[in-house]
Amino acid sequence: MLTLNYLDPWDVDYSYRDQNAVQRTRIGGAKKRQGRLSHRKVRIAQAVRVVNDTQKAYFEHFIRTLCNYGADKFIDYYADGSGAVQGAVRIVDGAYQCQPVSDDLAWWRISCQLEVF
Amino acid sequence: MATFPTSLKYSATSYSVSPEVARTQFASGNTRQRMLRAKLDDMHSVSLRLDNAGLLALESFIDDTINGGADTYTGPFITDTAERTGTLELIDGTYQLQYVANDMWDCSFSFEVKNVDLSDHELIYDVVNEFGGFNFSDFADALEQAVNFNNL
Repeated sequence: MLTLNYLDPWDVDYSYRDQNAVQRTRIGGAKKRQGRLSHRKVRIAQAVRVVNDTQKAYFEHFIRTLCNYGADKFIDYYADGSGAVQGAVRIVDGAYQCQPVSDDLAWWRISCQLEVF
Repeated sequence: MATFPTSLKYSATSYSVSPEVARTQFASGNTRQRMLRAKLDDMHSVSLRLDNAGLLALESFIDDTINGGADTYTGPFITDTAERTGTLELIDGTYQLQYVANDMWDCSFSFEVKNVDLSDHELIYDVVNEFGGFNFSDFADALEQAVNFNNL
């Protein structure tokens, strides 16, 4: 798995969207049954990273060319309330947004949904 | 191919990348993503502040020159400090107008940039990896030393 180096960590929000592998089944009338299918859990966070235009070009080449347009997992840093963590992540659907944060267009805000493994 | 009027300048811009990646989430909780096909068409959203003459120029360009927005055209897009030029397509031929004040309009629309060229990005990636980071001042200092002491 490739590692994205040299960039400051993603800022991820404190509200992870966690989805356990639990199946809820209607078993007649108002009764329902829930069962756990596996111990896997999907954890997705809203992630933001502010970079300059050189760093953005570096990031975009890494994601689009080396990680198959964001389809692949990669090793990266992300920071939540507990500090910076290095681990495997994946950009959900490979989709991200870029918005300038300075008038001279030198600094950009990259935002995406990040699946944390 | 028609060219976007040079008198019209974007006042705000952003872009999004939505590649053709299929994401599957299984009942077991496992997830999988696969790239379906290479796609280098990014969607840009821009805003322009226009006077009446600018608005006329924009509407004339969209309605008459590029066939109501159906045709591609050559125009500017912004992904860094340099304004780039590429083949653009006004998405759905749609644009929004808002009256601000006398002789002042806000216009916004989205366009797709066809076949974005990422060759510069690759060069930057290689240079950064070669020098071990983005701190180019270290490299500049080393180069200055080498030049000053004839040690190239």
